[in-house]
Amino acid sequence: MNILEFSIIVFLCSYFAGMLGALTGLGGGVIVVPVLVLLFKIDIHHAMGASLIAVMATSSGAAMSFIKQHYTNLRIGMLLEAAAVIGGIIGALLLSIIPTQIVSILFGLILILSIWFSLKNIQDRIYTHPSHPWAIALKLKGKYPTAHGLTEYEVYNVPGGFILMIFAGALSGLLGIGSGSIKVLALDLLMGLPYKVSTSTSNFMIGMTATASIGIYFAAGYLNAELSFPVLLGILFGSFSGAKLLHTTKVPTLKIIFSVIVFFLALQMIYHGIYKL
Amino acid sequence: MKIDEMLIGKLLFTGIVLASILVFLGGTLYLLRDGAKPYQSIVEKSQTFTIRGLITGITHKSPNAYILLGLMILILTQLIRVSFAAWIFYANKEITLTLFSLFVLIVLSGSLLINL
Repeated sequence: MNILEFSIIVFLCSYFAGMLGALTGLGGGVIVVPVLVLLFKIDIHHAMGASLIAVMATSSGAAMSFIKQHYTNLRIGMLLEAAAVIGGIIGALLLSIIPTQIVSILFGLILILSIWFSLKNIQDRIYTHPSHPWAIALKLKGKYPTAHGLTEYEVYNVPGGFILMIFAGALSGLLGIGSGSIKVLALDLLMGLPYKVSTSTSNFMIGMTATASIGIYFAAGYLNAELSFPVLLGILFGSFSGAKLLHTTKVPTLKIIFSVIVFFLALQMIYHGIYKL
Repeated sequence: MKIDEMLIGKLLFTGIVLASILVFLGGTLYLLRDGAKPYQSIVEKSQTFTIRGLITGITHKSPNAYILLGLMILILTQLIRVSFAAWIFYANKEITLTLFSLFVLIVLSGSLLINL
């Protein structure tokens, strides 16, 4: 296969990665890495460098549309991103102490458990009891589009979400993965946000989280221009399509797509952990 | 408030469109030059990055340099979005969220500066 054919195939795969990544709030990286590594035998470090670019592109490409449609909760996004950044520092400091294989296996198992919780209530649950006091103090409540127009939603368990996001950031630092999966689960299951608000807010955050790791890949020479080019362009168009699709996609469908992707991510994590033991 | 929030959306959109134009330009030049080579050659060499190398590359119309410049713009857009968020919160006199955003900005800028 020559570079032209390779670039076209990677562009097409990235298009689907960008579309699904924007819809689910996971970013395109979880799909781009296995395609490059398993299908094309590209070195994992170069693939992960391209994956960080993919995540930034998904996050940026879909953001305008999600903010305009009132899905993204910018205030919760920035608050929790601070937690993720704290976690990222902790993760980097723990890197030499903690065995990453075991973290990887545990993370895989936690993800499978979370999928079960997420699918148990496949419909969007709307809570009406009052928000957490911190959510009221920081004005974290928002309105999102429903069949009845813009509807206000409550925000719960802010401290729990903050702590889980530190944990998510630490995992990103330790395992070199984006942590969109935990972000969506924390916002949805723990803080009780409407599902589409959870995925769009996660989508907004992952671009910033990816920025924290990109410097290391730049410095190590793993940011590959030739590889990033078809990935970036494919992801960009894919994320535009994903952003258009969100409004009409039903929550149960979204949850199923999310769960299938996260299930494969979990298997990958468990496999990597056992393989490296 | 919503108008201000849309500003961040527009910034991200402008950033990624600008980045994509440069990446598309560089990518097209690259495919015209190397498109027929076997794809395995893509990751043979690791690419070390310097600002000076980037500037020389652009003056020599190197395809790589255009792509890398596009990637740099995409990365910088991420920092600008955090700055915008901090500024919007500050304009609304929301000190806690302003401080959180500034903290994110400092850590992200630091992690880039240390490594470049």
